[in-house]
This record gives sequence, C-alpha cells and structure tokens, in this order.
Amino acid sequence: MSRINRDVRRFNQIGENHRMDLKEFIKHGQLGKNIKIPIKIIELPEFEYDKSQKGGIGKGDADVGDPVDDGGDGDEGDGSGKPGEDEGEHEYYQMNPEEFAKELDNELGLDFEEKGKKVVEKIEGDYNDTRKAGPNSTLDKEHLFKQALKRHAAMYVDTEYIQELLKVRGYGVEKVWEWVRENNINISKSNIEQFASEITEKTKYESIDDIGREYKKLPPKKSYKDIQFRSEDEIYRSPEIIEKPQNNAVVINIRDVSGSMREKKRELVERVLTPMDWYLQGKYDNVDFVYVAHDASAWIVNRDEFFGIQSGGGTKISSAYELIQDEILPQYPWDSWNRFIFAAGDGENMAKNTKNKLIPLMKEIKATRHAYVEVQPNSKRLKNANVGDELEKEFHGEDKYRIARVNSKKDVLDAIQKILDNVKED
Amino acid sequence: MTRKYTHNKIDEESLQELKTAADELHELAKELGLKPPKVNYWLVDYDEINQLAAYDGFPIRYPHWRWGMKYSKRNKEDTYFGGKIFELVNHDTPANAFNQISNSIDDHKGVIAHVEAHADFFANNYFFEDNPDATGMMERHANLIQSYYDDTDIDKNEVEEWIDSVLCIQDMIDPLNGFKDIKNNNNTEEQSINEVLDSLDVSDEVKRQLTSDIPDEESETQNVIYEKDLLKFLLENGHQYNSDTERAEEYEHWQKSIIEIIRRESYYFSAQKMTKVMNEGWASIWESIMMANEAYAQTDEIINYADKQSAVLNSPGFNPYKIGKELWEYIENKENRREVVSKLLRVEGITWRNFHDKIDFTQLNKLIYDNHDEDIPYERNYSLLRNQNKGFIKNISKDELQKESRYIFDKNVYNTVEDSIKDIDYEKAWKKMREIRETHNDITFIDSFLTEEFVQDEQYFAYEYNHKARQMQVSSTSLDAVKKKILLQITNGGKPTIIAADNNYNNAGELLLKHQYNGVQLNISKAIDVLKRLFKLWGKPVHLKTIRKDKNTGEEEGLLISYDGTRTKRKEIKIIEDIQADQIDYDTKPDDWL
Repeated sequence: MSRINRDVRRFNQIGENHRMDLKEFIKHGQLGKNIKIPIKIIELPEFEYDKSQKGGIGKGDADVGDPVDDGGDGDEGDGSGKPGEDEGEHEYYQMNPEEFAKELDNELGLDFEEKGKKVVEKIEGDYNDTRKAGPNSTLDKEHLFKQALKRHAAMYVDTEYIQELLKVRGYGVEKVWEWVRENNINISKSNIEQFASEITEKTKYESIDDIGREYKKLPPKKSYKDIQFRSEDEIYRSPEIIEKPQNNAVVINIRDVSGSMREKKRELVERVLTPMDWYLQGKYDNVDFVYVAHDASAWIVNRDEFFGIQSGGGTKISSAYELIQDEILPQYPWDSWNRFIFAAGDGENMAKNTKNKLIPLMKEIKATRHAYVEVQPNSKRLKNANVGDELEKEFHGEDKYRIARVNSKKDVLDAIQKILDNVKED
Repeated sequence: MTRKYTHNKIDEESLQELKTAADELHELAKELGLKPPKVNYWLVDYDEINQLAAYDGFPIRYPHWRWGMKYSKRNKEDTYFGGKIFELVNHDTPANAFNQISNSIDDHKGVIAHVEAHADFFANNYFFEDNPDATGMMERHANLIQSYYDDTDIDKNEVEEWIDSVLCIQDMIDPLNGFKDIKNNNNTEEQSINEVLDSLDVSDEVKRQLTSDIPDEESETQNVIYEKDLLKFLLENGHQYNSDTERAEEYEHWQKSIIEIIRRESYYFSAQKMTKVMNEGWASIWESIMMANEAYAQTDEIINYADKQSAVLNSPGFNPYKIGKELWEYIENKENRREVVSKLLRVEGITWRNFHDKIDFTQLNKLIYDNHDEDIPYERNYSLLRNQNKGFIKNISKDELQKESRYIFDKNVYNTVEDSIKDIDYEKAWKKMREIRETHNDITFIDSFLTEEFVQDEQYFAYEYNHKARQMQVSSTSLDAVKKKILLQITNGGKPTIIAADNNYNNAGELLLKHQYNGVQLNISKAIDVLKRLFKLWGKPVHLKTIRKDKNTGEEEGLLISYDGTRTKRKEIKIIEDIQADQIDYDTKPDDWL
C-alpha cells in the first residue's frame, strides 16, 4: 500500500506551500448532495465545452420546454465524480424497478394487485400558470407593461426630498421608511440607510413643514417610448393543467436508529426495505418515498441518511407515527393515495409505549399496509424486545397488518413475501 | 500484492466454488457464441481494489498526486455513501479481473459473467490493441518516471510540473488514425479507417466527424497542417521554454520521454473510452442472459441486485451502462423481428399493407414458441419469447414493413404462416450482434442503431440551457436532437476537437491551434488556462482560433486567443470557415429560445 500512500501524501501537500502554481485549480468542494463531506479536488485545466451550451440528454415523459433538473453536478464545486465514471470500473448493476417487480413477482409468487385510487383527469384549465418561456401569443403583456411602468416610476423618486426628510428631528431610517411606504414611494430601505449614513445635520428641521416644499410626485410626463421593457419581465401564460394522477402510492419507511441498532441490524433492515421500495416503485405510476428515523423522537431524513445514521438515544416508536400523522400524511390524502407504512427495529421500545401509544396510532392511521420488521441477528433476543410479539397479538388475523421477523439474510425473502403478499384491500 | 484465487480470508470450500464458477461460466459464454480469451481472476481486499481503481485498473502507475486524489475521494465516498467496487477488469494478455473478496459468492458469479463478456469484447472489437502487454507497460513507465524523480540532476518539482502540463492535453490524440501504428505492429492485415467505415452503415455526418475532413491530398494549398495528435505534434516540433534565458530550447530527454509515456498510455485507454457504451451494455446483457435466463443465479441473488442498483436509478443524464444495455436489447429484438417478418412477408397472401390484419399475433407467438428447441442456447434464449417482448413484432410500423418488403423478391414461398415460422433462423440476432461488437465504436453504434422507435419507447429527450428562463429545459424529443446530444457526449470523449494547424505561425515558429467548432462554444477561461500550460510545452507563443456564440442572439463570431508567456490577448477574427465544422451543429435549442 505504500505506493498509493505516497501519491495520497503528495496530493495532500499540494497547495500547502508546494506547487503554488496549482493553487488556482484547487477546489474545496463538497461530496454528496444531502450529506456534505468536505473534499479537496485539484482540477487540471482541459479544453472543454461551455457548460451552458453543452446541454445533454435525459429520460422521461417530457415535452419541449419542460424544466430539467440536470443534477447540478460539477458546477457548485461538488466534486465532479459520479459513480462508475472511471474506466473499467463497475460499482453498480442495472435493473429497473419494473423489471425488478416482475422478477420478484415471479420469484415469490406474490399476489399483488396495484390499483388506482382515482382515474386520471387531465383538464386544460385557464391560462393561469406562468412560465419563463413560451410562444409569443401567450406573452403576458399586462405583466410586462406593469413591471416596466413600475421601473419607470421608480426612476423618478424624488431622492432629494427623502434626503431632506432625514434631516427632520425625529426622522430616523425607520420613520422615513414608514413614511415612504405610506406614500407609496418606490425606494428601498437600503437606499434610505445609505442616505442616512451620509447625513450629518440630523436636526436641521424641527418639523416636516420646515423643509419648505412638498414631495415631488410624478415627473412631467414623458413619452411612453422611454419606458424600458426587460426580458426578465417576460412571462408566458400557459394553461394550468389540473391533473389527478392515478395509481399513487406513498411509501413511508421508519427506522429505529437508537443505540441498540448496531451495524448487523442496520444491514438487515436495509436488505428488507430496499427491495420493497424497488418493488413498489415498479408497481405504481407515481411513488413517493418518505424516510423517518427515530429514537425517542422522530424526524424526516432523506434516503442517503436513512440507512446511515445512528443515535445514542432511547426508543419510542410512537414518535414516528405521530410525526407521520401530523406532518406527512396530510400531503397524501387517503382517497387518492395508497399508503405503505413500514417500520423496522429490533423489537425494543420504551415501557408501555407499544400498548398505550403505538397500537392506537397504528389503528388510527389509515394505510394500505402497516408492517413491522423485527431484526434480531443471531436470534439473540434482547430483554425488552417484544414489540413484534405485542403487535402480533393485537393484530392477529388482520390482513392490513403484517409482522415479519428477520434473524439473518436467509429470512429476507420470506419477510418481503409476508409483508407484500396479497395486497388487495383499499 | 494479489494472489490468484488464494487468500487467507476465504475458505477452501468457497474458493473451490469460485474456481468451478469461473470455469463453468467461461464454458457457458462460449456455448452462447462468445469468444472470451482466458481471464486471470484475482481476489483482492478492500484497500487493494481501491488502489487498483485509483490506478485505472492496474497494480502500478507512475508516481503522481492525481492517483492519490482519486484514492482519497473514493475512500470518502465509501465511508459516507457506502459505495463499493465489485470488480475491475483491464485489457491485457491475458485480461485481468480483480474481484473484491468481500463480495458474496453470488456477487462473484455475476461479476465473473460480466467479466467474461468484457473479455470477449476486448479481444474481438477492432479498436482494441491486439495482445497488449499493458501491465508490463505501466510498470516500465512507472520505473522510468520514478528514475527521473530520483535523478539528482533533475528538479523533482520540474518533473511533476511537466507531467501536469502534459496531462492538460493528454486526450488530444488521434485514436482512429494514430493507433494504426500500434495496431499494425501486431497485425499484418492493414485496414484503413475509411475502409472500416465504408463497411459500416453510418451517416456521412458521422464519417466526417471520425475522419474530420482531412484535406484532400490534391489540395493546392501548401503546408496545410491538420494534426489531431497534438502530443505527436509536440514531440516533432515542440520546445521547452527556458525562463532564465527567455528562449525556446530543445527538450531535455526526460521531458520528451514523459510526453511519449503519457501519449502511449492515452492511446491504450482510448479504445475503452470510445467503446464504453457498447462495452458496458454488452457485458450487462450477457451477464443477465447467463445469470437469469440460463439460471446461473441463486434465488436470493435478486436481493443483491436491488442493493447495487438503487444508486444507478437516480443518476441523472447520460448513463452509458443504461443506454448501452437498452440499445443492445433493442438490436436483438429488432434483428429477430426482421427475420420473422421477412419470412412472414413471403407467405402467400401476406403483404406489408395487410400484415397487421392477416396475422394473429397470439398464434404467431405460440408458433415461434412451439418451433423452438430448448437444447439450443440461442433458441431457448430467443428474445421474442421473453415476456416483456411479446408485443414487439406486432408493434412494427408500416414504414418498416414496407422497407422490409422492398428487399423481398421471392414472394409466396410459403403457403401458411406455420410453414414460414419453421424456417426462421433463431440465431439471426446474435450473429448480427457479434458482428456489430467486432466492427463498431460508440459513435457508429449510436449513429446506426439509435432509431425513432427506440428514442420514443425509451423516452429519451435532449435538453439545453434556456438563457431566458435561466434553467435547463427540454429542447427536443426528436431522434435527431437526441442523437446529436449523445454524439456530443461521446465524440472525442465529450471534449471539443482541437487540432494543430501551424507550427510556424506568424512566421515565427509559433503554434496555431484550431477548434473544430460544432455549434457549441468552448469554455474560454479554461481554454486560456490550457494555453498557459501549453506555452511551457511549446516554448513560443501559442494561439487558438475558435468561435464564440452570443448566448442571447445565437450569433457567432471568430476569436483568436493568444498567450505569449506573459499576456493573454483576444482578437476578433472575420474569416471562420476554416474552423467551422461543415454541417455539424450540436445545438438543439428551439429558435424561439433566443
């Protein structure tokens, strides 16, 4: 390993008093989108295309003019590397969710029926929606004109008067700002601050009348030809598309991240939840994933963090369900979304929490499927780990609730089958 | 450093299983019609594979900080994002594949299937060197450059700076022409690039890109220089700049040697770069045929797949693995369909006009199924029998049917559909695919096989930056635009083509470069940075002719950028015909965006 260490050492030295000629090419960026890891990158210059002219290709059902999220790679000093960018290196295999769903169906003989909650209605509404580009006939001329007029008017602010106003006893920045707004004068607060900082005689006038003149309202009318139109004010109206999508599903993954969830357990959870996400993604037109981590309290995380975090705290599973009920589900009304709520943990919970809080919440929250995955590597049962038992006792025979236990990799497929099999009810 | 299939971290039983798997999968690959040469498999640990990755798949490279940068970046990614390299493979004699020891046995098997297909590609694709001694070459280069660092007469910093300067232009070679010297060393049969291109069905536009309008030999103009291989141009004409004497002087031997080394390695890696889409797609489809269709995978393998694939799913934009696999699958289906259709159109009473009315497609699928033989690999793997492809024949367009029927002169050969199906060649697609993998590179591959049907079915679109809306927006969903954007990504490794046009510019031995403008302008400030580095390698002022495009009006104007060792100068130029690539415009912005 000495060979690569030599190269790493040299890399670290560069810019720190060595090779100052490269200093301008060093970027201290961040790796990753969600979790930011500081990283130093030295980018030797090369002939390359202008990024804003290069464009690219994407995939999806798209119409000309639709905005594209190009991932924003590179530009924000975000360590330009993407997985598999280097030659001959394969980090990931390929399979798309549909294929995966199909295979899992074949493999497990799942009797999974995806169903739409609502039929698609695509209504082309009034021209209410606006975009920054479009055909000329849809240009919002009113908006364009108004903005131009505003600017036109703003050019004729009687700044002299404002400056005098600041010399009136008791008229500080705040007071003038208030006055300006009352009189609908188009000047920014920072402008007033600027004037104020330049003024020395703050009590030149005792009152506003001492200034000796009125604020000059609008300047003498000039021709409208002077009005400047700017392209940044161009807005194009486009029909508002009211769409009720079909076949929606929201999948909420909950993970216990408390101190007892060690690496082995974490890995087992990932092995069960990831394929299920994939599977459901292949089954629905439109799937949202929400990730909730909890110890004694719960918070929403993104996928990258979801399997990585660990906290030291205790465990209160109900906290996650409270968060879901209050903050997440209102965005996914039951009449148009299938809801899948999957929790995973090692069976530990704070005393009485399961009975008094968790079970009532699980009953109250409407879902296509509730599942609890209990991971117990090496079958070593923890002392208080009885969430699975309690839930099983409570929900025995109720199709909507599924409890699965995973002790090793071997149990993963059975667990998935147990959780997803025969999804039929509404 | 590495032990071939012996490792203290793996038990005897698993080792035996892997050896068996490697042998079996090699045999299976051959049974399926591939011709992979022998591959050396190595089991390496986590640190080793990360070092190998940093060194582009080799155990040794010359000392340089950028390997260290790659290595520490990879380590950080692994630590925080749980990435993992399953395998690396390099093109050598024999090819070497490095598998990470901590892979599960199932992962290993998938990796081996993947590698066998890569090995087949390396050995059979025209653009790869024959029988390279790659590891040996890397080691010799490493030793040579190390010796310059060790030489007390040479300033270490100067060596490093020199390497860095050459690296700025390391990809400015001419893979299609320059590599002939290398290729022909081992190959008596000479075949010019033009002959190869003529044998392929590629458009003129692409041909122009590949051969880049080399001026006619009859051309009246004297001393027309058109050299894509800038590194070669430097070796023949370049000087070092001596800042003490402020003069251009001959290269030191070590300086020349470093340019030669970097140039040689660039040629070596160029084959992989220009076939990435094809090669990755090829390995993926054969892996999936071997593992899934041929049932080499175990049941719980499917879970492993999901783990690995989740990251790819979210990767935006151009993904060579994905498009490669999709294209190969499409070619497979299309060739099989052509075969079936060409038989059907010879059935009495069936014409391209009544095709869809006369044929019962459910019955047709059944006939194809009944007629196939499970014992023959290409029959049991026949793509049109796979569930997801059952509607493919039916989906053929009238246009294509008509086109197909044009080549059919012996109509009414069969009395019934049933008779015609007995005659189909189930191996047709695989034969064609093997031919394609021999003669094509990514550019010709995309140009020939990206079709309207494919672009629509797979929902590809082109996007551009809209300066008015200040965001990236879909610019087109047409085949033409999508193709342009893909070609832009893969031509010359996604970088602009810049050639050396004069070694005696201003009659003062100055260097003139010309940008082969194709509708997309250069990043000007980066270009200036490169010119500054290039000055050190040329020894005298350097100039670049390019075209700048106004982002609001789309108007183009010529620009001459010069660097004389102290100052950068920009000058507008009038005549730009000589840098404007004919009829190539990769800009797909709709007119009303301007």
